[in-house]
Amino acid sequence: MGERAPNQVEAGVWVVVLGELSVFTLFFTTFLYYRALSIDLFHASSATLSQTLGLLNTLILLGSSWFVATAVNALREVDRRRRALPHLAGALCCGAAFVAVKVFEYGRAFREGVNVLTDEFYMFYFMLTGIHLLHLVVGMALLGAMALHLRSALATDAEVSETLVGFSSCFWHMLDLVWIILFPLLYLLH
Amino acid sequence: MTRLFFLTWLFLSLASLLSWWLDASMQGVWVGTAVLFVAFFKARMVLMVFMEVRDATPLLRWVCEAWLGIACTAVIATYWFAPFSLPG
Amino acid sequence: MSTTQPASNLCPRQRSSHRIAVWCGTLFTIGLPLGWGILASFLLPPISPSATPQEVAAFVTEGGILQKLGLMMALACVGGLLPMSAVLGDQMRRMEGARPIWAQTQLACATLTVWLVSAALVFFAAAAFRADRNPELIQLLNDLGWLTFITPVSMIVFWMCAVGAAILSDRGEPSVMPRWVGYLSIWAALLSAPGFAAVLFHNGPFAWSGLLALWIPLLIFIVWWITLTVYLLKAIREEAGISER
Repeated sequence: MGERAPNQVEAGVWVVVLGELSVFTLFFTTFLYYRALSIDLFHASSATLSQTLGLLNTLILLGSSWFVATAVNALREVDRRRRALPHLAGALCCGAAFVAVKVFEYGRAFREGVNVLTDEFYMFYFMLTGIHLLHLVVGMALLGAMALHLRSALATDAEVSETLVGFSSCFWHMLDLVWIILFPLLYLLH
Repeated sequence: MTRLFFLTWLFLSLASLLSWWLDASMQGVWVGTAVLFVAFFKARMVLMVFMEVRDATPLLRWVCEAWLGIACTAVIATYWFAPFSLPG
Repeated sequence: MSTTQPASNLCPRQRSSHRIAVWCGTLFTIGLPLGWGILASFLLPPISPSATPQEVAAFVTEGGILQKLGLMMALACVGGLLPMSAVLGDQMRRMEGARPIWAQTQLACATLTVWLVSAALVFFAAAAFRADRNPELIQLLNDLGWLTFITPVSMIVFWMCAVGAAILSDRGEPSVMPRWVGYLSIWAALLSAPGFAAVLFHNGPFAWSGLLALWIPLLIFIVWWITLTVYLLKAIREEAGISER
């Protein structure tokens, strides 16, 4: 401890991260506002969601964040750089698992005849999780790009792009952070 | 460092299980508030540890703390007081 | 990845035309909200997608000559985006070097934006053109106008991403624009995306009159445009400085 490499993420990354977080905060408060307008409906519809699946996805994303954090940490030390790749692969698998659970959840809702137009709760549920999922796919693409870049950089002993690593990892943690708040809002509040 | 990440991950997972259990076993606006507080505390840990804000410049640290404060207040205030009449 | 900076040849005469072209963007960003939004009162407040045909017809009838003037003003102003995007493309070419794909994407997206916004305005104008026609037809034109305006977000998203990609790929010293502007563009792209969901909703925040489909993308576009204007003018100034040396 003590001689850790300084935080090397460039300042611009935080324009995206804090910008996204601010807008998601706006989404959260908008959701809570509409929820208060028709609280019974929101309770009834929210009760139909599977809390277990929501919890499962929370744990999956937390695991993926751990993978990404350890991968970035491994990159800081030259002799441990090689360890970053399997950790990134782990993060990508977690991302894929998240998408799979979400698709299963959506599929079940559609089979039960529930969709984005059913009521206001489901509008928020599908839109907020959908927007998050869209971001997650972008995040997975970024992690994938990072993994490919890393593989070729390791093969040729080249420098690793700080921009790609910093942006991809911060973006991924931000997705985790957003889901951490989205999960209680949509699945837990009763 | 790796150890810290592991402990953070463990803590975050346990906190998720805790809020899930809290919600399943109890009712009331205080449970909801507690669950939201736990969520923002978890968010703070992700920011500080995984995103390494605690090692960042003071400016960035303060901006992140400010966002956490504002977001947490806004969300919990809306949870408690909505529907209020919006201006205009 | 050319090590030698391409010869900068922005002479003083060109510098003023580049500046004028950047300011043309103001026509779009001020003229459109002012003409369409305020004079024609489409933003005061926006008419809800759940309004009945009669309500829509009443809105158009009450708009009268002022609404038509506002739409005319907006139609006259939208083209201002094109000269600005030409300058933006020119600077992006400096960032990208020899084979500038993002600069070309950018120009195409700006062109399509102008085209689609004009189309939306024409639909509104067609509604105002014969305000006494069947209210359901007025509603149809109103729907067409709003949906054309709000839902084709794809090229806006690609536009912003292209600008972001070019800024972040700039390896020159000093860089043409600060890197955070690139990140801002990417953020703006992510924020503009929810507009397409306006196809689904008749009310709420994701409907065309809602916070997340209309107001936030509109606001973020203005923020993005102000930032680009400031840094384009700065880039032109600095480029001229380099060529005088």
